[in-house]
Amino acid sequence: MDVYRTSESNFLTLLENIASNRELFVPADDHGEIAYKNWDDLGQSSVQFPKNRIGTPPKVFFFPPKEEVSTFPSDKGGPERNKRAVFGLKACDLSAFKVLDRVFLDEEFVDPFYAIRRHDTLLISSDCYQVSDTCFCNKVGGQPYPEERGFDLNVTKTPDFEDLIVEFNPDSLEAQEIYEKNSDLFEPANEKTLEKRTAFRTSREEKLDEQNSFFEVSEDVSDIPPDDPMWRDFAEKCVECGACNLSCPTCHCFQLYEKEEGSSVSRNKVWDSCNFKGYSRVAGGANPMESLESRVRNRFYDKFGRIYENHGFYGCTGCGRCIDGCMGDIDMRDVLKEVTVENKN
Amino acid sequence: MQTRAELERKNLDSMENPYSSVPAEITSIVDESPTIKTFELEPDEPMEFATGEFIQLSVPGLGEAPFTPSSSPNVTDTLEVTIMEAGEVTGELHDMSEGDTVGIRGPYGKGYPLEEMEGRDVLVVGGGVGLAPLRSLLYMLTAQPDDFGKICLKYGARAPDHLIYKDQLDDWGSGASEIDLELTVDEGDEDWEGNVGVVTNLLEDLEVDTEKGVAVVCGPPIMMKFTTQSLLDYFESSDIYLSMEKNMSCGFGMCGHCQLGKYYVCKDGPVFTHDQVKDIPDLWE
Repeated sequence: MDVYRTSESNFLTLLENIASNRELFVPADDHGEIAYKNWDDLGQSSVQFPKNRIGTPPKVFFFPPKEEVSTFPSDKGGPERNKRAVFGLKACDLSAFKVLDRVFLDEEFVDPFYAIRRHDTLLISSDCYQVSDTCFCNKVGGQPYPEERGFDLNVTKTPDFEDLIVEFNPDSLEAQEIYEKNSDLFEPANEKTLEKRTAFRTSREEKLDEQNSFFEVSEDVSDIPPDDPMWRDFAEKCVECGACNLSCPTCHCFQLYEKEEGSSVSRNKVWDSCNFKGYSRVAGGANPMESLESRVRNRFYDKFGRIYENHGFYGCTGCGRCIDGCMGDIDMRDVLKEVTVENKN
Repeated sequence: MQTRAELERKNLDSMENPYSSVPAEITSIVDESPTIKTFELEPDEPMEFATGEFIQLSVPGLGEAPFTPSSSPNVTDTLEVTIMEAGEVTGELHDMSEGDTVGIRGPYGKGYPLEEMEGRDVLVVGGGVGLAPLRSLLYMLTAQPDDFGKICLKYGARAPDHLIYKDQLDDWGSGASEIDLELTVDEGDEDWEGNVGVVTNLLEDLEVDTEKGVAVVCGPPIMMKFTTQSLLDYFESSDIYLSMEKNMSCGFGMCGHCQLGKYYVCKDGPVFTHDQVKDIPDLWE
C-alpha cells in the first residue's frame, strides 16, 4: 500500500524539500483569491489547500497562453528542460490530460514543448474538500478525488481528521523516490484512516449527485444543427468574451503568428477561442462560423460530440469554470438539459 | 493519459519540432492568370510529399497559408505551388520575386488515394485555381497510365484568361495525351470558340465507366457543391473524392481551427470521400 498519513506541517516540509530541487508552484492567496504562485515567491502568503479547483486551469503550465515555438531561418530548437512540480490540482484537472495528451502527444505529431513539460512536471493533486455549486464532474465520468492515478502524489484533507492522507503513485518513479527521501515524515495509513477517506469521498460524491440531478449529459448534441433555435437562445446571452475557452482546462485551440526581430523571425503559439468571430475565417473572407449561434454550438459540439465521436470520452471535465466565468450566465448544464429536451421532441 | 515512461520513449531531447519551417528559394514564377501565379520552390532540405498532401508556406514575418503542391511528387528537389491572390499572405507572395526566400513545413494530411484508383476510370473535375492539386494527381495518373483506366478532365474557369496551365491544357487537349480534356468558361471572349457555361454542364454525357470509376473534385465551394450533386447521379458517394478547405493553421490537428464535423481537415483530409462528409451540416459554408 502506498497510502500514508502525515501532519500538515510535515507536508509543508515535504513541499519545501520538493522545492529544493524543482520549481514548485502552489496555490496561495492572491488578493482574496487563490492562484498558483512560485514557492520561492510566496513572501507573506501561505500555501492554501484549495477546497475545489482553483480558477486558473492547469494547462497554463504545459500549454502557456503565449510562447515562441520556432525561429526562422534557423530554428533555435525545442524548449529547455526544467524540473517542476505543481501542487493543488484536482481530479478534474488530472482528467483534462486525457484530452490534452490526445491533442499534443499524437502518434504522428508531437508538440515537443508540451511533451517535455508533461514529462518534467510532478503532479501533486488533492481531493475536493468542498465541491463548488458549479462542479459537475460526476456527470462526465469523474469524481471529486482522483481515481485513475494520473497524479504522482495525492493529498486528502478531511474535516474530522487532523492529519493529511497522502498517496504515492506506485507507477511513478519520482513519487517513490520522494517517499524514500522523506519517509520519516510519514507513517502508514491504517484501515481506519482509509475508511475515513472513503467515507469523506462518498459524502462529496453524494453532494455532487444531489446538485446535478436536474440534467443528463449526452453526445446527442451532435444531432442538434446550428440553425436550431436553442443555439440562438443561448447566443443571445453570449457576449463573445471567450472566458469559457480561456478558463477551460481542455480547450486547446491556438493560433500561430509571426514576429520579425532583426534578421530573425519568431513563430508564436497563442491561445485562441472558437468564440471569436475570426476563428474560422479563411483567406478571401469566407467564414463558416460567422454566426454567433454556430460558434456557441461549436463549443458544446466539440466537448460532447466531436471528442466523444473520435475518442470515446467527453472533452469536458465538469469543472464548471466556464459557468463561473460566463458574463452572460450561460450554464453548460442548462445547455445539456436543453439538448436532452430537444432530442425528446 | 500518457505516463512518464511513454513520454520517455518519444526521445524528448531529440524530438522534431513540427512548428519549424525550412527555408526555400523561389526559383521561378509563372503568371497563370490575372490573379494566379505558380511558384517553383527549392527547399534547403528536400521535402517529399504524396499527391494531394499539403504544405504550410510562410512569408517570413507575415504568416503562413496552406497549399497543396501542384507539381509531381516524383520531382523531389523542387516543388511547385499555384497560388491565387486572396488574402494577406497570398498578396505578399504575389509581390515576391525569383531569388526570394519563403519558409515551408509539412507535408500534412491525407492526399489522393492512388491505390483506390488503380484499374479504374478516373473523372477529374476542376474549377479555377482548384486545378492546382488536381494537376499533381494528373501527373501521377499519367506517369503510369497502364495502372489506371480512362482519365477524363473537365475544367472550368471564369473566363478564358482565367484558365491556368495553358500550355498543359494545350497538350492534354491535343489528343496525343492519355487525358481526355474538356474545357468550359463562365463567360467567353471574342477569341473563345469552346464551351460556355458552368462546369456541371460537362457532366451530362460522361465518357467514363461511372459504375466502376471514381470522381475527384476540387474548386470553389459553390462549384464543388453543384458538381457533387450532379456526380451523385452516376457515382457512389464513397467514390467521389472532395478537397475540403478550412482555416488550417498548425497543419497537424492541434490548433483546432479546421474542424469539419467530427474531422479536422488538416489531419483527416484535406481529401475526403463524399460519404465521409455528406451528413455534416452547412458542409459548403
